Amino acid sequence: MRALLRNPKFLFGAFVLLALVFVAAFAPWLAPHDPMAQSLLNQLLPPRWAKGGDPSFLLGTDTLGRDLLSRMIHGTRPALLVMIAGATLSGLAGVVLGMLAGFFGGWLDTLVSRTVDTFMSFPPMLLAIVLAAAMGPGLGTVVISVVLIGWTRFCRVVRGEVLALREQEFVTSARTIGVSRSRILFHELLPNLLPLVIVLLGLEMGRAIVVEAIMSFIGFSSSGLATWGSIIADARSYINQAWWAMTYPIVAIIVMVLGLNALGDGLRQATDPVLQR
Amino acid sequence: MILDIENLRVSINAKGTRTPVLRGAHLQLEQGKILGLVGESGGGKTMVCKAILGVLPESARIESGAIRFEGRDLLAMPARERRGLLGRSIAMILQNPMTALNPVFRIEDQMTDVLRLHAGLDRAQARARALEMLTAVHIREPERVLRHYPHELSGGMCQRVVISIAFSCSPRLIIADEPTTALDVTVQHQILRLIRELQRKTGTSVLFITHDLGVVAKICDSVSVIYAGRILESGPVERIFSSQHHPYTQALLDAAPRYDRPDTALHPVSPELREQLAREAEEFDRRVDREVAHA
Amino acid sequence: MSPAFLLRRLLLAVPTLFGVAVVVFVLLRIVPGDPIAMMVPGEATPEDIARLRESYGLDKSIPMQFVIYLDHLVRGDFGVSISLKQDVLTLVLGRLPATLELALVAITLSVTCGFTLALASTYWRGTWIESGVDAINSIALAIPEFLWAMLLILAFAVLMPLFPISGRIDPMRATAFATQFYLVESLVRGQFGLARELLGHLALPALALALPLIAVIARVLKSSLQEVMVQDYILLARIKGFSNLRILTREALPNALLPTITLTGVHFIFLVGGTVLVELIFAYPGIGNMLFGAASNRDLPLIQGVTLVFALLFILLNIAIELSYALVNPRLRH
Repeated sequence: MRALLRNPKFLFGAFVLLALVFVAAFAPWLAPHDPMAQSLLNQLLPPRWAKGGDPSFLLGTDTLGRDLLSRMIHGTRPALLVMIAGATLSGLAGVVLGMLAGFFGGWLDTLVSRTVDTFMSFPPMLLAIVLAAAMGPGLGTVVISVVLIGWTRFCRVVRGEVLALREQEFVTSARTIGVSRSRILFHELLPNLLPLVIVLLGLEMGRAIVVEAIMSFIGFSSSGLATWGSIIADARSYINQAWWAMTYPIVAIIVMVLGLNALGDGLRQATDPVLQR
Repeated sequence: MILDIENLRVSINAKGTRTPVLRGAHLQLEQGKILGLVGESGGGKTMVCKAILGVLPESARIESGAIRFEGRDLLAMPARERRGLLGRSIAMILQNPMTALNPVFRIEDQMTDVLRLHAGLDRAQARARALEMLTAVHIREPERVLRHYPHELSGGMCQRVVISIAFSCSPRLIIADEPTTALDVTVQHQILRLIRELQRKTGTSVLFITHDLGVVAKICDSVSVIYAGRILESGPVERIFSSQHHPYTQALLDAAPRYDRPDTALHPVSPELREQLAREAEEFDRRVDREVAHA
Repeated sequence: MSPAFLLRRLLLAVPTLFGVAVVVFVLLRIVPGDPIAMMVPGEATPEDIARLRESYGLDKSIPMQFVIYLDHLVRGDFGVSISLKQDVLTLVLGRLPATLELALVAITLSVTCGFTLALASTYWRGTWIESGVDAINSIALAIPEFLWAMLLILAFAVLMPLFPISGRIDPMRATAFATQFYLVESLVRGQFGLARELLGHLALPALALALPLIAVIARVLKSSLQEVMVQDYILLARIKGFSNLRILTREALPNALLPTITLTGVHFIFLVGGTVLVELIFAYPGIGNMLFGAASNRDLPLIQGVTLVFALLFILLNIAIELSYALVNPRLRH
């Protein structure tokens, strides 16, 4: 724990994550305007500090006169939701399947491993698009795409780890004294996998943010929401009039991705002895 | 004197600490002779040959000394000119034939490239010369071997190829770094005989590096014994074998397998002797440091 | 590499394609939603809808629909697009060349740049060039291609307008071509002005696709080269008197290729898959862009057609990667 608090990467990542949670939680109070409120009088205002900027629209407005700052602030909510739901669910699916495959082996392992191989040989975007076409746009579609793309990473790593742990003394001895399989799985193996899974979760959250941005950029997320991806998509169409509008969400996403990567890296460094066991 | 190494001092600098690996080595190789350089691994043998060839690791630094090849100091020579000697005038036979050949090229390419670079031969001439060389190292179907990749040949065959590459540009000096260590015992004898035979035929001088005094007795004209970066003793083979001057040489002799009396037990070098030698080496380092400080 | 091996690989592709067809077909039909209802105007009667549904075969049971679909597929009939009312195969084949040219330019770019970076940082090991390459690599890897595309748009289209950010060519000039392979055709015909315009449009999308792969190739090739450079045969090459450049490119590089191809192979497939998104971002008229249109209109036959073509592309790419293993490794050649 102390090693964590002295790790700059972890601190940077944790700060970014906490900032996101804070902004998302208090979005309605932090945002100066309604993110959806259009104002035809205030179209395409530049940021406040630029020439022609309006003090009440800090980051300027888009073509419909909506306040970009408020849209950015409200955009943290779908980002956070997809990030947490997507990463947790893909972690859950991947860990369960990976543990079962690694622990029981046999046809179950073959089935799971083959499925993972198939998923990994198929570019993730294609999968997400076909899914979105089947399910229609919405936040649920976005979360499921994150899970479909992400579960294989957990599954592969966890399976390998369980295969290694299964042969270790504390597991074999537990088995010889007749401890039940489910007890071995949940009481012996799971605690040992936890540090690894936490690191993977950190990395997965970074990926989920990007998937959310892409899906909402494409228009496969809920159309009634202000999302970072939809801000990019709107800004892409009037980029020659207002290049800055696109910059905010891009910078925000890059900071999130780098922050969450750093969080995963920091966690890995701090828990390294555990991982190397 | 084709090769004359004088007071060569080399150290490895890693992580701020300086470890001497050659502590003022002297070595003399006469024209047309085979000099055995004997010692244990880590004693500095390989450093000597890397220093001659100019392929020392990046962390190594030559602190003083001279390596004179045909009277000219290699260390003072411009890099380009020095590299010009390699392959043409100085060649080498490596220890492990299975890793010495590039796995993705046919034997033909690996034999002719050096001939085309140094001897100025065209493709057909180089190929003819390669065939000639393979015959000289007693390879029976040279045409077929030329078409093979290294992994399709045995270790002994590979070493013959490596030897033929070394001799192909008629170099004046060949450095053989434990050329038989990685091979089967029966093949070892053949390879030793082959090197001796080619050396006699071409008159090339050979610096033969080994840890085995038995091998030295078979092939060398003179011998130098190296330990902890220092040459402990040098002289003609007969003299070294008849009357030992240094206890370490005696210990090495005791440790070498006796081909004439296979039943005698081997005696490893005693810890006491190692300690004494280590003390001497440290003493030597201190003396050198003092000299450097004064100068 | 024998023809028999190739044939076997191609035959193995059939079940894979079948699997993709099944998965996509089922996925698209398990979820409620009526593509016909989306395409008819509001005043259409239920009879009109039923008639349309019948004409697209959507009134039958799902297994029956699948059997009919397969039957048509085997005869080379991919069906008729619901939204564009044209033969799917014709539509896809018309757009495929644009995607292939994009992928090809991106792959060429990533291989050239990746190799250059890896070779340069090995040749100048321990200097600022190596640290610079490492820094470029970690930045390129940390940011996903979607964000690269956006950053490139900002940098080279808005702040420093060097390249166009959408389309493939001025539509006025597109009529001049006899084939859909505009770039190849203009080069073959020697129309370099046109080729330059095409390359200008390709520059940003290709770079966005290539950047992550450049970093992967540079990193993997560099570490393989460093492993190779300490091998005995490199020492022997040095002792043969070869120059450092020749040792690096002629002796070390061929040996470093094999691990590089093994480790980067799957990224080439991702690059081709990545064209889908990049085409949308840069409004580039390839099959990826077509897939989005199809997906937003729930144009089932078109979605199926495009995914099958992508699956076929991936399979062919896999075979090409395997062939290149054999090409660089003599041990596999027999």
